[in-house]
Amino acid sequence: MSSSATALSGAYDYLLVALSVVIAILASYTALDFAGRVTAARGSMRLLRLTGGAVSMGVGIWSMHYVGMLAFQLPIPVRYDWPTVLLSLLAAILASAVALFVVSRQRMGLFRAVLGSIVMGSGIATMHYVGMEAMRMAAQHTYSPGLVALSVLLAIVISFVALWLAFHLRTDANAWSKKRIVAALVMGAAIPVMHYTGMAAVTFSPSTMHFHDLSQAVSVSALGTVGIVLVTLLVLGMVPLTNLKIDTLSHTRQLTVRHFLFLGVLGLLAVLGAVVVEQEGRQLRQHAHLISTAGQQSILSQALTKEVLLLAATPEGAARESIIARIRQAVRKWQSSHEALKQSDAVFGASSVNSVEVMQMFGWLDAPYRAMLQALRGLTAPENSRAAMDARALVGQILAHEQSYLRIMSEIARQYERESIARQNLRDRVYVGLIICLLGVLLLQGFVVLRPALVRIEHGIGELEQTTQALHRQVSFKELLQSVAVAANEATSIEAAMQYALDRICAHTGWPVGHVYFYTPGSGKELVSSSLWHIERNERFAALCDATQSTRLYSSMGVPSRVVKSGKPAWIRDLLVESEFTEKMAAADLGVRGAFGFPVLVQGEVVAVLEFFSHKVEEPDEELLNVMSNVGAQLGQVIERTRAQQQIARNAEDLARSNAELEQFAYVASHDLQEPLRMVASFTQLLARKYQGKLDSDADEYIRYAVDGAQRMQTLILDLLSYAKLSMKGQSPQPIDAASLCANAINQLHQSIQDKNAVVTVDPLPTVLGYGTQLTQLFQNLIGNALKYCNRPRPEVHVSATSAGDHWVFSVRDNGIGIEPQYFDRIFQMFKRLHTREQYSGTGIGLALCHKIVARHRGRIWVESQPGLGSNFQFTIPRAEGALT
Amino acid sequence: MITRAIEILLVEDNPGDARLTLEAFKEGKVINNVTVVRDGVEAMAYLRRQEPYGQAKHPDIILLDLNLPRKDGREVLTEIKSDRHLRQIPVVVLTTSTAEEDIARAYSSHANCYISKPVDLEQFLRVASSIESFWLNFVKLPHGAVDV
Repeated sequence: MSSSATALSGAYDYLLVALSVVIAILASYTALDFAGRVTAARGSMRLLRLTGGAVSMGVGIWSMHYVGMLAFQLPIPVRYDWPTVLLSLLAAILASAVALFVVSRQRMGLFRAVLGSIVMGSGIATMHYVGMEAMRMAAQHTYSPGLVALSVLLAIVISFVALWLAFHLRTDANAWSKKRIVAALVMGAAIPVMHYTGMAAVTFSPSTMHFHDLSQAVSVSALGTVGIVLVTLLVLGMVPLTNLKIDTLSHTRQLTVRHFLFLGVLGLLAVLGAVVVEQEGRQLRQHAHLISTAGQQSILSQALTKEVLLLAATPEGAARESIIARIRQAVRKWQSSHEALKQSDAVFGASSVNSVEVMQMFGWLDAPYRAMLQALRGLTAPENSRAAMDARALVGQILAHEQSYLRIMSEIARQYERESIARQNLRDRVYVGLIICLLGVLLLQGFVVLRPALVRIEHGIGELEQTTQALHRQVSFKELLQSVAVAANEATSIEAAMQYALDRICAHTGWPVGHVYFYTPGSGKELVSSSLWHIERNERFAALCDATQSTRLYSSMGVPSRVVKSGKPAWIRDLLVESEFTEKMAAADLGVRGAFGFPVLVQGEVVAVLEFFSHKVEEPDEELLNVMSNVGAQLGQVIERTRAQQQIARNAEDLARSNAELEQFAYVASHDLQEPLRMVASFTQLLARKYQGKLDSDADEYIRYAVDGAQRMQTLILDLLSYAKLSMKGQSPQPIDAASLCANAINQLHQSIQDKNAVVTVDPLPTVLGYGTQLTQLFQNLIGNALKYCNRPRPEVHVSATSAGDHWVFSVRDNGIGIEPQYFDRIFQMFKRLHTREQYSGTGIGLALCHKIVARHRGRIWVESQPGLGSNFQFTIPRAEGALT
Repeated sequence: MITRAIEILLVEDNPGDARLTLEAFKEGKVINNVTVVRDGVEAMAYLRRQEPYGQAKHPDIILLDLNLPRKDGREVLTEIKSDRHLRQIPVVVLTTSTAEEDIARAYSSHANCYISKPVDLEQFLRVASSIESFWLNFVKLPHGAVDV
């Protein structure tokens, strides 16, 4: 093909342009993402992330570049020199590495930013222009210096923006934050601007193809395009996906993400497979067409030769003209087929170019082809110009070249066949490869998704079982504790509570033997085996039972003494291993292995030990021992409570006895005192009666004092006697009409009421619960006092009652001398008087007795008074319907 | 109207009380013979005319103290009231005890009267004269009891 000065105009495939922008955006996102991740990492992880980030980002930028290149379609076949392509990829990766390094530093000053963006921008530009240099085609490219400079500047500016964004967004924890996505979109849109500016800077002009380094040139077929795009999308797509901070997700979501990732890969592989099949099918059809065309070309050239020979043998005339016409027609077809084969162009719908070998062969074919064509043209030229030619010589020329043409043509056909076979083999390998890939991905999915999921499920089921078991355990422990607590509260004796605990614990643990030791510190025989046992199978453990109860040897077997020493539960997993020699023998004889025990504590002191035996080795169970500690505490409370109750009962008994004795003493004392006193009083009175005035005046006075003293003594004793008698009887209170009691009292006081010229008024009184005699005494004392402590000519006493809740408030009001407030309490005390005997007689027992009577009725007595105006004695008594115990 | 002297049996261990009772009856208007025995055993012996009381007179009324040596006044009362020949003799329980229990028990043993000894001499004398006037003046005592 001859060179031409006219520039080749390229067209853009906008679908691929769009794809390149998408790739740029993904690459930008990856870059931003890695900036954060590299910053966060330290040491080897940092290096790893830096490398990984640089590679994926570099691949992204590079891929964007090549997709952009593919989008640019020239009317001539373009190939790429792969070592140069790799070099450009390396430039992209290095540029990315620099960028990541810069933004992952603690600080990024302007200088560093500018320097970093220059390095990065230069890297990208280098990648671009080195990539351009990898192009191999039948054209020359020239650059417009201004646009090149602009593109480099753009690369640096974009890099600066990218670094700035990456630096400021690197600590953004949210991988999908709006800022980051917007930044990625901006960067992703900017990078292609640089690329397409670079592309605008280049002008392609056709030139003779340079074959100097075609050995390493590869064409980028549609298959290759798909491959590049897929790999890039995979690399770039995986990064943000794997960057979902999968570690921080729940396990289930991690698996889901992985699962969809694998589905995506499988889908891509399937698409890839479909594309490959489609592509290869088309290729094969083209090859078949090429082969048949090559064959037809041979036949056509042979036919032409025949026609030429026929022409040579045919004289001038109409027949000759028709032969010439046929030859012309055949030559046109032959010629167009040849050009089509040579260019392998779109005439056949071929999208691929001929292989190097085929091209070389066409090079060789060129000479015979041209010679033949020239000769054929000569022969078929119009009559006027044809005369100049020697027809014979032309025929000779055709025949001379035909052989070599046919030979080379058949070589080309064979080469097509070889290539077709090679392509079929390649396709087969690709198929196998794809299937292996699919299987590999499935296998990997099995390992990465299915297996962890199964493990997880298994683990989950195991956990569930464990949780359920633990829950069951907790519940049964709780039940055990509750039942022991309830039993402990209801137990009538310590023994009953302990027996219950033994039975429950054995039932709970499934251990066959339980036993109680009592512990009395400092008694010499400190640990004493009790008769409290729980034995599942008597015959088997009868020996143990006997041995334990009859001898001291076994009572100290391991557990109880340990429990006593530590005050805590103890566990022996195997008595045959963990005990003294003698105990070991005993354990072997008795057929027990595992044992545990726990103390019953009262105020921190061990008072008993509960021990349990198993006939097999038992692993320690801390949880059980904890529960047992609680059971021990419960039992301890039973003991404490029982002891306290016993103590209270004893105290009450003692008190009752001493009270009874005291009352008995008071009664007897008063009674027996009265007898001699009565003698003294009676006989002094008798003396006074018989000898008054018969002796001298001194004697009369002595007798008077003696009589007075004896009389006072008698009153005192009588009052004391009634006071002591109060608590003598254990009768139960009865509902009594207070009005009648009050009437009785007034009746008793009839004489003194008359003497004092007093008025006693009584309101309607209720029925109350109490002791009749005592309440009568109460009214009598209070009314009596009212009469006594009054110096008015007409004493007035008023008795009334008011209801107040569950009791009645009685009031005995008088208009007597009254009481000073400071004595309000004192007057109710025994023997406390406010007046001398000369003023008012009395023993100081009356109000004390009132106080005692009211107290025995669970009531209260008090006084309100104003000296000189009168007093109001009030007391409370339970209502008849109220309980009095 | 009884013309002969009234026979009174006073069962009283305290000589002071016995003397006081005697003094009180001495001041009375009715002619009476008071025989004093010191305990329950003596009292029963007297009533049953056992030695040394072979010639004892049948009492018209018995004044009985409750707290007695040897045989208690309560037992004496029960024995008297369960004896066909003695039960018609009125028994006046004259004691220092004011215990409800003693009072109730005395009456349920068919005591004819229960009197607490007053501490005051005047009252005591009044009581003695009351006994005299009531039992010896107003009350008709069975005569058959005299000779059995």
